[in-house]
Amino acid sequence: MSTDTATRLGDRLGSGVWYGYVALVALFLMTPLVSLVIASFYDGRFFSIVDYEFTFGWYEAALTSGSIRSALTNTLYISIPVTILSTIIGTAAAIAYTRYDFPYREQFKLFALLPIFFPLILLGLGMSMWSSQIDLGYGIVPSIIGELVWISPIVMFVVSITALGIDPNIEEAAKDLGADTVTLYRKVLLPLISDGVVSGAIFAFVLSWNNYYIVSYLSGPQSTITTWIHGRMTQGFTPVVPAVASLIFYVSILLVVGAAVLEYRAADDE
Amino acid sequence: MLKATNLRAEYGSLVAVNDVDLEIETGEFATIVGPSGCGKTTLLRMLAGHQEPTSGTVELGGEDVTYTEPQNRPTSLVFQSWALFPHMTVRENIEFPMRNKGVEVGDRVEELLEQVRLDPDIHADKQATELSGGQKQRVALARSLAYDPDILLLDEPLASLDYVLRKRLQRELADLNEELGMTFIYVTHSLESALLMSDKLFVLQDGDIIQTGSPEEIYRRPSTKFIAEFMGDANVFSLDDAVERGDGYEVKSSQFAQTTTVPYHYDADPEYLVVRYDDSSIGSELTEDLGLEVTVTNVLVRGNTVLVECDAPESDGEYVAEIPIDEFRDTDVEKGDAAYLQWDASKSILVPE
Repeated sequence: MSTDTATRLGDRLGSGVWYGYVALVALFLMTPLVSLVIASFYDGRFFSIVDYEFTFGWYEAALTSGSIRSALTNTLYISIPVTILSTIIGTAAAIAYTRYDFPYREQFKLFALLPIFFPLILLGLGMSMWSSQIDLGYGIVPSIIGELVWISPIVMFVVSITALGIDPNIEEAAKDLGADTVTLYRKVLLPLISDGVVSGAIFAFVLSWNNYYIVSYLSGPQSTITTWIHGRMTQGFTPVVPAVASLIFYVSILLVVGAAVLEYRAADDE
Repeated sequence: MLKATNLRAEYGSLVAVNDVDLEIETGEFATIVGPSGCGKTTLLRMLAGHQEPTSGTVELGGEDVTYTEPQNRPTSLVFQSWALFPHMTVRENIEFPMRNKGVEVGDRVEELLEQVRLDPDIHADKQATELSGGQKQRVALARSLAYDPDILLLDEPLASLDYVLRKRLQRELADLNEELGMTFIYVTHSLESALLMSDKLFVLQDGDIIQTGSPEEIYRRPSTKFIAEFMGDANVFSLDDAVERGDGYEVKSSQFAQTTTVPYHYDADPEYLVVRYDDSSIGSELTEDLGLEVTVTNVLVRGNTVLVECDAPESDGEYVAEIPIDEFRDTDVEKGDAAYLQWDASKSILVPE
């Protein structure tokens, strides 16, 4: 009885410490983002928390500014093709790696995933030099190609996690029951990995949407949201910057939550 | 009729299936039995078309199907993991092969579910992931039957089920085989299933078929010591001397004192004498034809019978007699006692190495 109470107390103390720890980590991670959001609503030129006044003004300014609009359009011109193409490339690579047996399969995975671990700033630099060498130039198309190199492996990684969880005999079972390759993919394999593919696509969009290093090297004269913010930070800060940065953040967080819900739903199905 | 000729599978330098020949008649329940790693699953996968043989041929009803895709083969495999489509309902799983073949679905799903003893009203519209192990097994079977194969291949699909359920499904499979007149080829390492269900047994060891026959034949006349031991529950004595006498051999062993003559059917000289546990008995006096002195080390009750485990001090052997519980009580032998393990000479089986 007494040891019981002691254990329960210990448990409660333990879980108290645990939740406190998690809360601190969350606070640490969220503070910069929350400050950004608070600053974006501040009515004044230089931020001060003492005499805070609320306004939507900077958002209005952001959404009506021509340069921001064109940066936003450029970003979407890059992000949407990158999302579609990297999802296709990454999914194909994931299916090859997880569902087929071929020589040097493990080496293929290491090689394919290598760009993820390469420092982005060096990846961007290398691409920039290469792009000028092969006369690809700078702009939207080189940015799309550059981001694909980095984002496709990440999609492959995300889809592989789902694809590895499928019974290894499922394709053989389908073929055994008379399914041709098209039916096998359309009715069995793709539906089974669909949650992973959607998560992968969301990841791809968010990463492309937030990307700075690669586009900063490759977008040339076209400014995107991130290069626009960076430019404004280094020359001529305006309070529109926090508002634009917050807008990026809202889109990202919405999509990430969406992806998390998908993952959660898939785990629940098991 | 299914006929495999010189079927061979190699993985690098490893020979998984070594020039196997087998013939299975239409409607037969054939079992390929052998220990883990003997090549039985590889053999089955070659029959199903999921693996190309290194050499050799597979013929089905006189037609060469060695390199025919599994999609176009009239065979269907029930996997050990069942491999149900988890994103589909039971009905969709069973309709899958019918849609692929373009046959009318109609009431087939209900019929098939009833055939595998599942209530369609309760189970047809459940998600495949909601079923228990035994139910998944039945659905996998119904799905394979829905493909309407000439030959149903089963890769130990009962292995992960509990004992009672496994027994029941074994009996149902045997019934289904008879009812449908469809050829069943079952692969297992469990002798019990093999004996219970099959018309014909193939014993596989290290990629070779070492004996073919009815379960009865193989149980009564194992062709090697390996099979005798694999068929289970047998005391094995090595022979010191074997002399041909008419239809049989006169044999001597240092492990028991007497000489005996036993009928024998194989070419190679006999090396071992085998006696089944349930053909052996125990007693404080030697009353049967053959016997040896032992010390009883353990007595295990197995329902109506007891397993009497013994040590033979002289030959270092461990032997077992399985006898009815009442008979054992009458002997007055107890654990730790010296006694005779003995048997009727006619129950002896001779085997080569």
